[in-house]
Amino acid sequence: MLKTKIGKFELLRVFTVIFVVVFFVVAPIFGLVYGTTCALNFGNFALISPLELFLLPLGTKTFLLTWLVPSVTVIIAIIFFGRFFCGWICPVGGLLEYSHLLTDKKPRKNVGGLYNNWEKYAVLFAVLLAAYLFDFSAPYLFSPPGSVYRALVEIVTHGIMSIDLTVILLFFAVDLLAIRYGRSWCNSLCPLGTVISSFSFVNLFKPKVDQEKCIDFDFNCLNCERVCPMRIPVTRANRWMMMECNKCLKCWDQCPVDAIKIELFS
Amino acid sequence: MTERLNSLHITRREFLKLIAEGAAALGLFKIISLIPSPAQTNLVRPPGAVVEESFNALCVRCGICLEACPTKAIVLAGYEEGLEAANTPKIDAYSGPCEFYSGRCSREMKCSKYCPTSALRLVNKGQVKMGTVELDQSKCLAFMGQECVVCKEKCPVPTAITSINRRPVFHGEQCVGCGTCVYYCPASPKALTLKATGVRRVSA
Amino acid sequence: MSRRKFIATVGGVAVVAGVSGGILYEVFRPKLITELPRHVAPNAYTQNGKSLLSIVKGTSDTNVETMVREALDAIGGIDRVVSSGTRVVVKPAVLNNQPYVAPDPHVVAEVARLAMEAGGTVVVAECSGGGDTSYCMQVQGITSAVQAVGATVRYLNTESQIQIAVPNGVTLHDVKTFPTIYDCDVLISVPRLKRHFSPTPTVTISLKNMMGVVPLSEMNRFHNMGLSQCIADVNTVMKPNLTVVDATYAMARSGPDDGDPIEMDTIMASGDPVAIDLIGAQKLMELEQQHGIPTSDYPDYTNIAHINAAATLGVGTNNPDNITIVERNLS
Repeated sequence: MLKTKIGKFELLRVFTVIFVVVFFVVAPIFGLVYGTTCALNFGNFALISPLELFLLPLGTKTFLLTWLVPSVTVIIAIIFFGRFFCGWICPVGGLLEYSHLLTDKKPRKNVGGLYNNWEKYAVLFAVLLAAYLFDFSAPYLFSPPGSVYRALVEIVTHGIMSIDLTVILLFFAVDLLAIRYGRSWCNSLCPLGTVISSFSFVNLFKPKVDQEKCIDFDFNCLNCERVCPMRIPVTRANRWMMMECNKCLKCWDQCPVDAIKIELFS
Repeated sequence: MTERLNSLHITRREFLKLIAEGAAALGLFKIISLIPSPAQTNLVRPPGAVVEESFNALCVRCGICLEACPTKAIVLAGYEEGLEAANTPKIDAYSGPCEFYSGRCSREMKCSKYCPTSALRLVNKGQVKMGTVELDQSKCLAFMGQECVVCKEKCPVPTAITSINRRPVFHGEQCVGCGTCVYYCPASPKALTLKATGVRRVSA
Repeated sequence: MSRRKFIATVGGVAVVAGVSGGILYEVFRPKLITELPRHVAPNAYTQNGKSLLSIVKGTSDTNVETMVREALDAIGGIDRVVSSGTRVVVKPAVLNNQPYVAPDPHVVAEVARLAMEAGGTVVVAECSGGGDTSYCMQVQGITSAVQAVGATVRYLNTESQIQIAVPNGVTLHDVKTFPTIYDCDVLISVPRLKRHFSPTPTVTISLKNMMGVVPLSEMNRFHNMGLSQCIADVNTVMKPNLTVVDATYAMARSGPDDGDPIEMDTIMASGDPVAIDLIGAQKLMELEQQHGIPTSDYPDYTNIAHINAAATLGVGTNNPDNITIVERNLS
């Protein structure tokens, strides 16, 4: 019963991701804004990625007040809007979702539950501990959106020959998983994603299922669960599982009986 | 499979698996961080950089300094500089001269102004030495009898390069390591390289 | 989408991109221009076959604009080369952002204003070799002075480059320059009288000023191929029709940026860049001797390589007998 049409929001999302990338690559030429997904500087104020709010003090063993406003601003946005970044801004996440187009197969069906998503806490813990023990700032380097943006910034500033081939290799390594499993990096490994979902307390714009219209148990539908890139069992999810929601709006689009609504507060 | 959708319980087996995975990741990071980075001592950092021990922990590899630099002197270090320093900013004098001493950044270093984490700081330019320039006489046009002392012409520090018998003489103690002479050197291959020797930086 | 179709699509896109890239490259590749720039012309400021050269001396109180007007008037006035509709480029020797290395902004502005008064459209252009041109000209005050009289400023380092032939060059057979310089009808060189620490070129006056109408990459090439001859070669195709030398302060003992600025209160003008370099070098040496600055490290003004090379190529004359000097004293 899977609707296979391209949802209207998918095009909008792809366009938004591309627009943001182009904007942050072109705007520095006019001095409007500098930076990548690791940190941005608009001249009068800066924004720092939330993962760094934890890694910086752990790595340097101090806390500088200049970090406070830039990172807390972002965290407040995350508290309200959840994993919006993952769905609408992160270029790697977007690419991972569509990597299954490289084969004839669809991504493997969600096996249900949060089982697959606990690994990321182990990774995050290891990352934080490594920063503290070894001063090893691994995520800055391996962060896929950071790497992509940095590579683009280098190309725009210094020309195409400055591109780091290892960035491309890393990109494809992460992508290989995605051909078979969709957003497995985002769900099971990404430490930035873990931090973001841990702060999504308020989480506006969540999908709400109208249980009377829903046909999943009667007709074994589960469309919403199948299309959800974050592997949330939409019809049965509790508030904690919903913190993974990246607002892609696919469940809303693909429900055959229009039982799902996106509400500001749920 | 036990139904666990309405609670946060995980089984003991899964918990142990988590611990094992975390430990494995930690071990991996430790191994990677041990990979020696011999090239690191030759990294010439942007002028406001803190001392090297703190720099890699403060820098979040955001690339802002790259974009803010008006001369395109800043590039990102590659993986050959070691994983600790990879993708951190360094000065490539072949790409552009650093104008912190004389030029567009002599009043305010743009890289330091925009750095969001204070890895680069606004410092008094008189206290900064980014590195020292070294001359390879076998490549220098003046030492081959050609009419060239461009390095001395472009050097913004009056006493760092002098000219004797139509040839440049380098006084390393006065050199501030801006790389201007390196950038303008007309020899191909260049006769000058900028090295991170005698560096003076602020502490974190 | 099947795998085969995906690979076929990617391959097709790559081929189309490659072919169109090749076509675009061929179309937009700079070609060698063999026609000489329009401003290359015989010296308009001659009398009885000799080059006219004016030297106007004032005091520290003399109005600089008045001195410029007198200097031009003494050789025949700017309207010998500029008339209604003439496209004029004024080329100041900016070099970098330090004081005293560039001509006085009022001198540059007055030359521009006089050209406009004679009916020309004036662009002040430069490609400085010692830093970003826009920044240097603004710090020197030249940009604001020139815009105040209504002329436009063009920073050549932001323009696209063209390549022109140097038919009479000894070392150079082609040189890169900018459309602004190539398309103008009249080129006016406005340098400061300065010593250069290197025995090549010894002095940097009008002939060396033409290093600022070529891109930086060409400056590299010249230093590799023999600078003095290259300066002379460039001046055969980038030949100023008029030179106004700012010697209100001259830089002596050393240069082009680390010498001593010594008050000289002089403005010189000529249509012959070789002659003005020669006489300028002579006056500089006299100034240094007056102030007890040793000059033995430098070749005598008659022995300066690029001046003699330019004379050999016919850019001007280095024979003092062929130069008529007109002196005016305004004190």
